[in-house]
Order: sequence, then structure tokens, then C-alpha cells
Amino acid sequence: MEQAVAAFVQEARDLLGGLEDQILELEGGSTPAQIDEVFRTLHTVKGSGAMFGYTDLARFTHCFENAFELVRAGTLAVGPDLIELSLAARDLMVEFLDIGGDGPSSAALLASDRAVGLMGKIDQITGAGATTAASGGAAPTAAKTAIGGPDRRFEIFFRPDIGALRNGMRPELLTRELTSLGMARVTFDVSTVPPLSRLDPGAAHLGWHVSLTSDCGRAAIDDVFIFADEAELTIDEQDIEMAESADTADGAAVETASVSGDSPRKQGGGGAQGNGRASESIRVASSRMDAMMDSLGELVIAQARLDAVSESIGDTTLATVVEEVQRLVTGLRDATLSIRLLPIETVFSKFKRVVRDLAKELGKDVQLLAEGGETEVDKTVIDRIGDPLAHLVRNAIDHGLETSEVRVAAGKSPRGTVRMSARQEGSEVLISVEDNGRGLDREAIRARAIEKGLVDPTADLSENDLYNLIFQPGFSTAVTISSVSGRGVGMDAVRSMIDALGGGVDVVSRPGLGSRITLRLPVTMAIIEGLRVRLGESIYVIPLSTVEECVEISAADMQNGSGRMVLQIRDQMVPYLALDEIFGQPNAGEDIRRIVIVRINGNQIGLVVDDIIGQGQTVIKSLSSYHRDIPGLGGATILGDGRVALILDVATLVRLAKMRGGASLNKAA
Amino acid sequence: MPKTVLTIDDSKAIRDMVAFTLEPQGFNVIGAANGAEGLEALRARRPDMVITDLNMPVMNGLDFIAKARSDPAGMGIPIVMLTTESAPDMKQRGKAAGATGWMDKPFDADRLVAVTRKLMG
Amino acid sequence: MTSQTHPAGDAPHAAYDGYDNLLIFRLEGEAFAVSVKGVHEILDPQSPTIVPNAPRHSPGLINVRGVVVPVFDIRHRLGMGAGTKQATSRMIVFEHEIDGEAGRLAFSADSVEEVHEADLAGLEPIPELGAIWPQACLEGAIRRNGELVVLLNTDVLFSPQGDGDATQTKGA
Repeated sequence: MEQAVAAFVQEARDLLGGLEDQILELEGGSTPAQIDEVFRTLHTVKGSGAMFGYTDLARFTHCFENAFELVRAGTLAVGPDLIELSLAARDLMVEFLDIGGDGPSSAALLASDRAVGLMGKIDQITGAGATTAASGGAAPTAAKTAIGGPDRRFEIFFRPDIGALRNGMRPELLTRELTSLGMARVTFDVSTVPPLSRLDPGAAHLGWHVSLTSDCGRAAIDDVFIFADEAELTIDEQDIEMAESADTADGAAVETASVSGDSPRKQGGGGAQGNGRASESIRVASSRMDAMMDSLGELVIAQARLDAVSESIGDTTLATVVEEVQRLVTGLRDATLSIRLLPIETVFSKFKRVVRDLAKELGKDVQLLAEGGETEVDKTVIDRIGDPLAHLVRNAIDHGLETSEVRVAAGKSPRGTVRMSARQEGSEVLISVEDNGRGLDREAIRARAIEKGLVDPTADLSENDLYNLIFQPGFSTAVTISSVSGRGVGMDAVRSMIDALGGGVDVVSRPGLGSRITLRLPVTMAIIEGLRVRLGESIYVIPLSTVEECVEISAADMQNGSGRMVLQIRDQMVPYLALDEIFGQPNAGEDIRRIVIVRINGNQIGLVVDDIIGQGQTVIKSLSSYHRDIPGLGGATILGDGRVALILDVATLVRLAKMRGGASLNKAA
Repeated sequence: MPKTVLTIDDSKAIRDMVAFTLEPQGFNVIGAANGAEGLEALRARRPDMVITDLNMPVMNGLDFIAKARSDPAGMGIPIVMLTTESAPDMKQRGKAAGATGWMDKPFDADRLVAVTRKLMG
Repeated sequence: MTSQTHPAGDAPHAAYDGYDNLLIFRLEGEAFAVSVKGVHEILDPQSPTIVPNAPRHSPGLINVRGVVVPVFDIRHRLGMGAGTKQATSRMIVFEHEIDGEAGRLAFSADSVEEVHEADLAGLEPIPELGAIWPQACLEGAIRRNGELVVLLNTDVLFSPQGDGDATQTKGA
């Protein structure tokens, strides 16, 4: 690069040497070519100067370039004043070169009376108001701005000009650039592709829909398309948070749903471009979506009934149609459920302020990192996850992170980090709050639990069990009770919120390194895959996501267990619950019963039932307040035959089993 | 196989700057001092991308772009014109002639690399 | 299928200024009434799905056209013994706000008689009969064809807490 600078200085000297003669020649009358030459010289000195570290020179040169631009355009005549000023300016430009680039001397020269006077006079001639127009320095580079800003959705439709490919545009590079900004879904609009016989392979026929979720600003999106100015381009932007608050202000409960549809086909192939944009967002009132979900739920139930009827009739033609309907219903279900999905960023983004304020209040230096904000979760989760996350974030900052002094003394960076992240794993969304603080104090937890009578002092607790104690009601190890946490009402509230959403909580902690609490939640809340089991005359549904396996057990085996409700599954001892007993239902006394092994929060238990009926889609209907608080029940659903069945709340049953089994059975975990 | 970038500018300093910036990025850079030389280089060396100044003696940038686009060697390759904010209409005229994109002068090495990557992938 | 929700807790006394349509039904031979505004539909008896460990006043669930509706044991709340299903038995699906949530519940009646327009200005306090049923569940009585009809206070009647057995009872 030094070579390039040297080349610039040499070149500029040559140019300025020539400039003197060029200006003098203007005195006797000028041709356009001569004016052009002067302009080009000034233009090069200015443009290159800014690039090679002579920005003061560039700034100074700018107003003279400006003057000759006007001369070239015929709006300014060359007069003796201009020639006089230009000559003086040329000499000053050489002085800038002699100084050797930007620095105090160069700045002083630019601020000198001589330079300011010259610029003022030339501006008087050109009528330019200010001398500040020149952009010094380099143009700002592509702005990947505002990391950690709120996620927005951009619905982008882009159709290049038909000749764009010949002119070197490569649309795939644009979509790749968009993809690098966030989560993007790219679909093509082929509606304007002509038939093969009329296809011009060099022409651009395709349109692109890009549905982008990103925390970059609109400017970064615009920047992607900076050169595509003659293309058909629409960028619809949704700030989800803003949109919602605006609606709340109106008093109308509206949620933002983003629906990107396939482009409607146009008749006749070619077609006008105007109606080519097919991807746009619609806003739908919650109530309408609820109505749609209700109808879908009924459809799924009717479908199950149809299935049952078809099976009993046993007609293959009917069975084929039923299968087809089943496929369509499943597609409709997935599409409908996807409308309920919103990026979790809408929740994450609210924590920037919380963290900032809390860190200030507690006198800690904290940075918040958020990852995976584009992960989509059911609207119900979005609505209810805020409080549990707030508890976890407060705990992380209050209890987890140390003060800067403590951190530095421990050899850590003075600034603590709270990281919120989300990702999807199968049918679950994992939302974590992680800090790089001191980690959970196992001994303090144990001591506290013993003091509270939650565990036996002799109990051999696994790490997992120990950490799970913090979710017990009334548990708190905080030595001082601060205004933000440590009141012991936080973590058990977190647990019950997550239970209510049908999820689970995992805790990982390393002394001195930090803790991570992960909430595991189902992606969709409205319809789940369920395992139907029979208990006496009743049918219950177990969420299939919790089921590991089903084993048979004879009544005799259960009797022989020496009173302990434990079952050996291969090399593991698994505590089990007899559901008939829990639910106060008379045991039908069947010889062979079945145990459904379920796992949640890393804990495995068996649920004893009379029979396994089958599995299928289960539309979750919430229980009324008459039944909501009954332990072990998570909801109800309607079976194919129209009967109502209850859905089990596995998380609560697991805890019940562990409580009954006592600490000695924790090996299974 | 390194991609070749043709830089057309009457300023050797600019040509050098382009070369010194892009060569470490794995590009092969060739230069030409005006549009006419640029057209020759385009046909002889078949570059993958062209960066051309507009204001040049002998053959200016606009003429170069128009001629390059009607030449098999110049069809479909990215051509970036160097523009200044003092002449906004030049962007339109350059685009109409067939330029793929533009770079406002002054530009720095980061901007040059960004634009090159943007247009060549 | 569209349901009109009637905020049952909405200033009940306002209705007393004039006439109201009442649904008259019978339990143990006695005539009872609820405002017809809350009545969603009347069904033939259905056998509910038993909810284990449920409170006595709300032992089960039924499917009302795709909506899961809790069955409310109005007899238990009124201190009557378990009834037997009769040919005239019906289930009344009632729109009711439970703990601030709009919802429906269903309760059984031995028979449903008619919709009767009554002048609520003529509402009388319950006489000595009051000893039999929890007073709080009753609004008062009206006379119809010389017979006393007991108008129920549905807010109290269907309250999840109400009768002190809201704490779960063992078994269903």
C-alpha cells in the first residue's frame, strides 16, 4: 500500500505541475476540452487524496473541483477571479503534498487563514453555502449494524430487470448476502418464466421471495440491493415488538402473524410485473386465529373418528381416501400451527433494558448476549415465557455473576456475561439462560435443603437432584435478600410455569465457571402426538415426546417388589407409579399390565396402566379452573369416538414418584 | 484458478491501490489507463470483473461499458464504475450503459474488497 | 356453533328492574330457574369422563360439539343426594364465567319444563324452604301457577370454591 501512496504523491505532483499551465491557458479563452482537463485533475487529486491519506488536501480541493464542475456544466463562467483563486489554491495543494499526508500540520494548514480564505472566496463565486460538503475519509463500509437490535422480519420480493444478468448481476449472490444477515427462507417466483420455446437463457426471468428474520437494520438490507436499483424490489419490514405495542395502544388484541405464501400463478405466462409480488405479511386478530385453531382441532378429531369408522368397515377404497384426507389434514395442521409460531427474539429483546438496569442497581458490569432469537415458538410460549426468563436472568445477575473486583481476583474478565439462547431440537425448543459467574454452590444448596427438611442428611444426591432442589417451593440460599431476587419465590414459580407449558428444566453448573439453566418447551402447544392408554374403563393420553418405551409387567411381579415401587429395566432401577392408585380408580385386577417408561428433566419413571391403545394427534383442550389444579393432569382432548380423555402432566407425576420413592431411589436419574 | 480483475483508471495511484488491495485477497489484477486500453485488455485477458473510472481521456468509462457489454468478453461479467457524489446522474447513465454497480470515490480498501466480493461471490 | 358469552357476573341486580326469561327445570320435584340468557343449549344426558381427584361439585367432563365442558354437580352443591337418570333427564349447557374466564359448564336436571317470562320485581325471599338449600345459592322465589320457583344465584352456585368441599376429595 505504501507503494500506492508513493504513486499517488508522484502522480499528484505531476498533475498539479500541469494544472498551473492549464489554468494559465484559460486566461486567453477556454475550450470544453481544457475545462475538462482542469476538472479531471482536481477530481483525481481530491478523490485519490481521500483514499491515500490526504483527506485535508481532498477537502480543500473539493470546492475548486466543484467550481470547475459548474464551469463544465456551463453555469459558471471563467473569470479573472476564478483563475486567480485557482492558482493560489494550486500552490496550497502542493504545500499539502509537501506536508506528507494527514496529521497536525496538515490540519493546521487546512484551518489556516489562507486556506479558509480561499475556500470562502471560491464558495462565493460558486454560491455554495458551506465548505463542509466534501466527504473526507472513506465511504462507510457496508453497514452490518446494530447487532443485538430487535429482530425484525423482512418480507422481501426481488425480481431483477430482465437484462440484469447480461449486466453482470448475480441474484444468487444477493440471496446469499441476505442469508448471511439472519435466518432467511428463499422461494422462487416462476410466474414470469416463459415457455421453453420463448425462453431467453441470458434473460432474468425469476423472482425471489426472501423471508428474513434478522437483527440488522433496514439499512443493511437496502445495502444488499444497492446496485439493484432498476429491479422490482419490495421490502416489507415488521418490527414485531413495535407492531404489538401499537396495537395494544389501540385496545385491540392483535398479534402479528407472518404468512408467506407461494406466488399466485398468473394467467398467460409473461404478465405484468406489478402484481408479481406475492409474498406479503398479513396481520390477523388473535380471535380469528383461535377460531381457526378450534376448527382445525375439530377437524383433527373428526379425522380420527373417520379413521376409526373406516377401519371398522374395512373397505380398501374408503381406506385410500381416508389416508389421503389424513395426509391433507396433517398438512393443514402443520401450516396452521406454523402461523402461531413467532421468533423468540420478541421476548429476548425485552431483556436488554432489564439487564442494563439490574446491572446498574447491583453495581455489576454485565453484558447480555442473545443467540438464536430467530428460533420460532408457539405464541402461547411467547406470551408466558417472559416471567420465568426474567427470574432466571435476575438470578444469573444477582447470584451468579460476581462483582468486577471479585471476578478480576479470580482471574476472570471484569465484565460478566449473561447469554440467552434458543434453539430447536426435534419437537422441543431449548431456551437457555447462562452466566459465567461463580456457579451454584452445591454445599450451600445441600445445607439449605437439609435445614428445610427437603432431603435426608444422609441422602446421596446426584448433582442433578441437588440442583433441582432450587426449584422447591420456599428454597433460597441467598445470604442477603436483595430487592431483585433471593426471596425464594422465583425458581419454584419458574418450575410451575414451565410445567404448565408442558416443558422441563435442566440445570448445569460448574463451580467458578458459571451456570446454565435450560428450559425445554414443546414447539407447538395446541396439538401434540399422544400415546393413548387405558386405565380401567378410562382412556388417558401421555404426550409421546416424554415416552421412552413400554414394557409388560405381570400382576405377580408387582406384588413381589417387597413394597418398593421400583422396577428393574435392564440395568436401571426405575421408580414407578400405579396410576390407578394415584387417580383413586379401582384396579380392574388384570393379570398383565403395562408400564410406560417416561423421561422428563432427566428423570425416568414408569407409569402403570392396563393397556396401550395406540397413538395419534391430540388436540389439547385446557382444563377449566374446576380441574386445573389437580396434580398429574395437563389437559383434556376429544377422542375419535367423541369421548373426552384426560392428558397426563408427566412432569408432575415424575415429581410425585420421586417424592414417594424417596431420596434412596435417585439412582435412576 | 485466481479470478482476474481489470482496473481501468488514468490514475496509476488508483490502479496500484486496487492491485495492492485485491492481490492479497487472491485476485489477479491487471490495469489499463483508459477505456480504449481497457477494451483491448478485456478482449485479450478475459477478466472476471472490471473496475473502471468514468472520467478518462481517450475513451471515457461510459463508452467503455457500452462497448464492453456488446462484446462477448464483457457480457455478463460484473463491471463496477467509480463515481463521485458530485455527479449523481452518472450512476444512472452508467447503469443504463450496462454497469453492474458503482463505488463512490473516495473509497478505501475495505469498501473495495466488500464490493468485489459482493459482485463476484 | 358460535357462542354468545354472557358475562354472568355482570351486575345481576340490574335485571330485576323488569322482566326476564327464565328456564324452569326440576330437581327432586322442586322447580328451579336460571336466566335463559346464560343457557347455551340443552342436551340429552351424556355419560361424562370422570376426572380423578376432582372436587365433588365438578366430577367430570363431556364433549359438547368439540368443546370440552366440565359437568357441574348442582345436586351436590344444593345438598341433595345423588340422583338417578330418568327418561326426562337433560343436561343444561350454561355459559358462565369461572374465575374470570368465560367458559361453559353443564349440569343435569331431572326435567326441563319451559321458558317462563317472569317479573323479577316480584321476586320474594325464600321462606322456610331456605333451611334446605344453601341460602347463598338462591336469589329468591317467584310464583308461577301458584307454585314457588326458586331462582338460583349462578355466580355463587357455580363458584369453584363455594361449598367448602372445593379442596379435593379422594376419589371421584
